[in-house]
Amino acid sequence: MTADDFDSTINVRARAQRPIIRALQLIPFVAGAIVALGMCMPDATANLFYRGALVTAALLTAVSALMTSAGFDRGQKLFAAWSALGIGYALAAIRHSFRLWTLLVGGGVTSRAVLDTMLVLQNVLVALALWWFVRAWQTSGLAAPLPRRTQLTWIFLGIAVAIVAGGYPLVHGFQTAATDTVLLISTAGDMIGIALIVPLAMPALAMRGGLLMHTWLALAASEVFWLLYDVWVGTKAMTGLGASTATGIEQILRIIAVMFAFAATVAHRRSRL
Amino acid sequence: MASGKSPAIVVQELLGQYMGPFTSKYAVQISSRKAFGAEPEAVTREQIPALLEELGPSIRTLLGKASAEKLAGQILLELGL
Repeated sequence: MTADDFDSTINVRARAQRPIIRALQLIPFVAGAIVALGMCMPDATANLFYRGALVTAALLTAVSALMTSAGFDRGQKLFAAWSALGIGYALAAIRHSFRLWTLLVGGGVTSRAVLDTMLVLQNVLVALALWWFVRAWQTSGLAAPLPRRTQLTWIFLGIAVAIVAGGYPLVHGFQTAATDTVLLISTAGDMIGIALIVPLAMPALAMRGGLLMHTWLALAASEVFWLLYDVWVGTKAMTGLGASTATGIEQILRIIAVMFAFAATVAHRRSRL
Repeated sequence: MASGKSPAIVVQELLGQYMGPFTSKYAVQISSRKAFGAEPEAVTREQIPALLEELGPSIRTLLGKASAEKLAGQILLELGL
């Protein structure tokens, strides 16, 4: 018997999962549309709304990533990758919760040392996670060899984009490291993620038509939106837009970036048997 | 086999649901050459378990051990092995 003689269980399952996994890619834009409502709110309310949305998105992503990691054995690269992503976003959720608490009732955890440590760990873990996703594909034995020149071209292109997007904030961060660790660490973490956009997109391209494509595609999309976020933060002052609109766009881009990471976690679970 | 498709090509198509037809074709081709020194079309039905064994590490990397074993099991079942 072959796959042509009957509709195989595998084909049936894949056909059932495919539209669900595709639909996951809409979730980030729905989340962005919801966050856009903040632009209609008074500033103080909008701040609370944006922060609450971010905490929710980060928490959902953290929980989902850790659920996905449970499908792998310790020692597997994707176990490490999903776990690191989950813990990174959990730290983000906790950190933003502290800030939300302070906004709502005052007080709470306001120690710069605590918040900055969490930020550093978050950025390190997410950058590591993305690197492990790239390495998992590269060491899977499935990556068809590209000509060396093509590989290097894509790598340097990714690094160049990362430098252009993050160069100024990174230099500024180094100059003000004593007073603005947040900018320095956040930018460095973002630059690593941006430099990995192409290495994350290439497995998606190689696996086009397969259920697993969507996981790597969503991860790459997440980093694309972090890139757009960084570019927006660096250029919004030049746009002449009002503060609440500029902030709203910033928050929309951020939520979309986080929710693409969430979509990736669910897409991978849905792809598995 | 009723339709005349070689068993390795059937494996390739079923794996393609997960890793896409381009990657599954590459994976089956490389594994067939490595395991048997033959192209996928020449792999016999009896050699399929060994082919899946060769593909195992790659599939486990992407899907995890449990899912990879389930997938391999289903492929063998559907090939009547």
